[in-house]
Amino acid sequence: MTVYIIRRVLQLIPVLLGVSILVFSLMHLTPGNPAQLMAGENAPPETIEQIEESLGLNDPLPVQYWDYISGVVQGDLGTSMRYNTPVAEEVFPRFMITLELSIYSTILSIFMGLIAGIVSAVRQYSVADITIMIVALFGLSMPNFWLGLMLIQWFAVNLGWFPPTGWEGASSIVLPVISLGTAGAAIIARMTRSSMLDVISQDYIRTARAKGVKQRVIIYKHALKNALIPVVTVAGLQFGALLAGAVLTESVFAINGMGRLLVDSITQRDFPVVQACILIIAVVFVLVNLVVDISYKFLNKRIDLND
Amino acid sequence: MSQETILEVKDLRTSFFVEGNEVKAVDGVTFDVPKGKTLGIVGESGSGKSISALSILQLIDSPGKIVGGEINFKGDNLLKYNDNQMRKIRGNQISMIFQEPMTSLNPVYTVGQQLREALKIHRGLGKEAGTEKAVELLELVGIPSPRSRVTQYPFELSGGMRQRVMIAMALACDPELLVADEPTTALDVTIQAQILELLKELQDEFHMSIIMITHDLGVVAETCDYVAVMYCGKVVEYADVNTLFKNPRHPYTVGLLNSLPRSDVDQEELEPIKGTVPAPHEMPKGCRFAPRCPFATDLCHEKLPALEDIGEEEQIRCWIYTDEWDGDPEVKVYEPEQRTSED
Amino acid sequence: MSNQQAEAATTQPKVENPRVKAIKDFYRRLKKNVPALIGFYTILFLVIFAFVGPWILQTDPTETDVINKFAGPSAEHWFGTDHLGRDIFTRIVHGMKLTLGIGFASVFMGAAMGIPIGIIAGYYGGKIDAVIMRLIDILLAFPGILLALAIVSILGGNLINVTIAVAIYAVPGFARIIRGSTLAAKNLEYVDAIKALGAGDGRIIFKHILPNVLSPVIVNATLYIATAILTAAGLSFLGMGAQPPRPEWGAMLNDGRSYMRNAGHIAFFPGMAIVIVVLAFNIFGDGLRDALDPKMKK
Repeated sequence: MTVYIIRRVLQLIPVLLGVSILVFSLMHLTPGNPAQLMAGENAPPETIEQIEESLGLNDPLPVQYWDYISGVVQGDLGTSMRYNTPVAEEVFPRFMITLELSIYSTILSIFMGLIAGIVSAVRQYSVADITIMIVALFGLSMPNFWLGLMLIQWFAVNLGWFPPTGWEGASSIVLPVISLGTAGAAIIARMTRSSMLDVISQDYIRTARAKGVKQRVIIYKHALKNALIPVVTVAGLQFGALLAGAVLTESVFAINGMGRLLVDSITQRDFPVVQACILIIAVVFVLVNLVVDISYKFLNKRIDLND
Repeated sequence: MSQETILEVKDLRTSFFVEGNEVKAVDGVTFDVPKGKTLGIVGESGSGKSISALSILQLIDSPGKIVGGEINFKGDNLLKYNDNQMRKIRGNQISMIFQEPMTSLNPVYTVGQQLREALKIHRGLGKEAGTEKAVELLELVGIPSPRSRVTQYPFELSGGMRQRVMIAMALACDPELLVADEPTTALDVTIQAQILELLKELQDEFHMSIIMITHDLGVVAETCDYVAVMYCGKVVEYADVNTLFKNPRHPYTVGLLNSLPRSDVDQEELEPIKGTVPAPHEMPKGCRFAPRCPFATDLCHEKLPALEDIGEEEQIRCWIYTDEWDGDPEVKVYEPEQRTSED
Repeated sequence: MSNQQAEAATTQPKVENPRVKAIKDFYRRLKKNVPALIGFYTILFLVIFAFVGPWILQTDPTETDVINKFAGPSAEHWFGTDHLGRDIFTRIVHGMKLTLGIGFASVFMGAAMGIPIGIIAGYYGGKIDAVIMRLIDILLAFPGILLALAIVSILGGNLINVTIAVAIYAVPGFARIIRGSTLAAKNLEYVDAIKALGAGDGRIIFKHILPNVLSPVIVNATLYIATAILTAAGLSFLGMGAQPPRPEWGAMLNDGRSYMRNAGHIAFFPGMAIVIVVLAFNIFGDGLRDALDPKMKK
């Protein structure tokens, strides 16, 4: 197991390197001179030169990359063009909000998804099963930003139960979390159902029945533990998708998270902030996947730990 | 019948309902299991032997359903039992082991956890007492260093070892009847012999009755006292093992024996049964075996023969042995011959 | 025709081309899947409607009517009017082409890039495979809409760039699935046999591997169109896709969000339209997967 973890961590290095190169190139792949873009079309040449100087745009690319990556490793994400403040200071408080939103939504997805999926599988083809599967299909076909708008209209505007925007206090987080977590819940419900149905037809379930184990115990002890193994992977991927999906939810609910910062910075061409936001989400996602992979191996006794 | 019967299966019918069609997998099966003896059920795949075995413990999954018959265990019809009563029989008085040891154990629980489960359900043993008994059982089925095995997961064991664990699990509550569904088919030949030997020893020790489901007449010869031969969901011949091998009567049984390599007679070549098992939706209306039978007459094609007693503890489902036989009378006199060295 | 010939023709068993048989078989199973059929016919209807609809309506999606702005649904304006008094139904009908176009185009481009990459990785294996898979891993490190967002931030926001961004986002998915199927197909014994007979790589790939990997491609493409439509609408919603006054549904939602308090219908109907289209592709994709899955064969 330790060997597996070490190897899996080592495998991360090329991925993180690639991610950082891609993020670094964002600014350079943009057609036109980034300094010009940042300064605006009518900026005097001195300003552009100044920006070029401060970004080190006149150095050879490898040197620029080296400066960038060594800064990142030390927590220096550059300077925001818009606010002229260190990007890290700008991004971290807002990253915490996005992280919170994503974690709550993931928890909601897993909780709702598991319950719905289990009920569906245990009562295959029942009214409950069919209803759950239809709702799940809608759930994953709905744009989360539209769902967010509809939730605002019904529960905030019409009923007044929750505030329509913001991220302060318990009642304000309800609608954004539902809006962001629904698609994930739908995906996890479908996954849990098919995984449970697959497990229920396995030989070892028949063995358990032949031993005289109660149906309930068979489902919650023998089947569920096996069925959860593939669901873990999906839940991990969901977390990443929600982290990115937060961009839309934050925009709908006017939450001052990193997603909104990212969108604003793209519009304003504040490249250092764009780079930082994208890099952080990608790195967090990669790390979460690492944890998921390791727990997958840990849960799944059947697979060889050496590969 | 001279001896005590532990299980009596009468006219058992199990069908599968697929897309509005009924497929009769087990179509009126009747046999007895004498106490302390081994009954073999032989047949090709699709003959309904495994479904019969699963029906005894009512482990048939939808879309399958037991649609008729009686399964009398020590005089009580199990088909009248409700779920709860049936659960108390399973793994307790009647146990079952399966064909695939590689997939029949739950991969996410240790051997000990799985052994303790049956002990807890039927004997109320707690964790410590359960573990002690589990170690004892593993020792009984010949697993080396049993104490360290209880904490292992199935993936850490070989196929033969897993089948031994399955047997240990089945024996946990001293069952009176063990249903073994092709227990050695998935194993290497050497391991096969060991497992069969183990089952025999355990049977002698615990006076269990065994139902041995197999397609392998070699296994039958080694382990069984009585044999029921199944073809297309029906028993075609029931006899004690010596009679069956020395004097097989049903043309299908004869065919099976002729297709078997033997060391006691000279064989120029093996003779397979011609044709194939009919598909469930094109079942012949007469004798199921008629299309493949070398002796079949119009009567055989038209009407299904009944399973009738001929001689002591011997039953057969074939027109040849009835008064209505309309074919070559010589067949009746000499009976379908098993090939010997003279041919 | 002589009698003999006629007899020969009738007695000869008809040998069906196995591929034709596979397609017939597939169609037979698909026909049994009622939701999938509903999905299929909905898509068919939507595609036809996207072209015929604007012509039937004869109304202008950009025509404003300041007096009638924020009007609720009525006989005259089925889905009401927006903040500029434009007829929402007309705009949705005109936007259909955009939504479907982005969906099909991006998936087509994604598949065109992803399939060769996947086949090369799976077929040649070794170092090529390792390098390709690492690159794919890097792309997959950007979850969900993030990769498309990053690409749009480079290229700038307009519909074509959104399509390209969504296509690139599709590449890793296609490449991975195709690589897996290629690996499986490559290890089939008959491929070894053909190789032993001296068939070249090109012939093996096109005649024997490609047909085998087609079914996962079709399923993946169908389900991916749904994701592509959602992603593209999301980008437009953020103001990075279609620019006004184009009647793109995500952009229409963006128009409507400011008026949720008084005129919820402006956002409701374009969203509903997205749900219906995406739902149709999801249902159809699910049905295709079931029909093509050899495990489901009876």
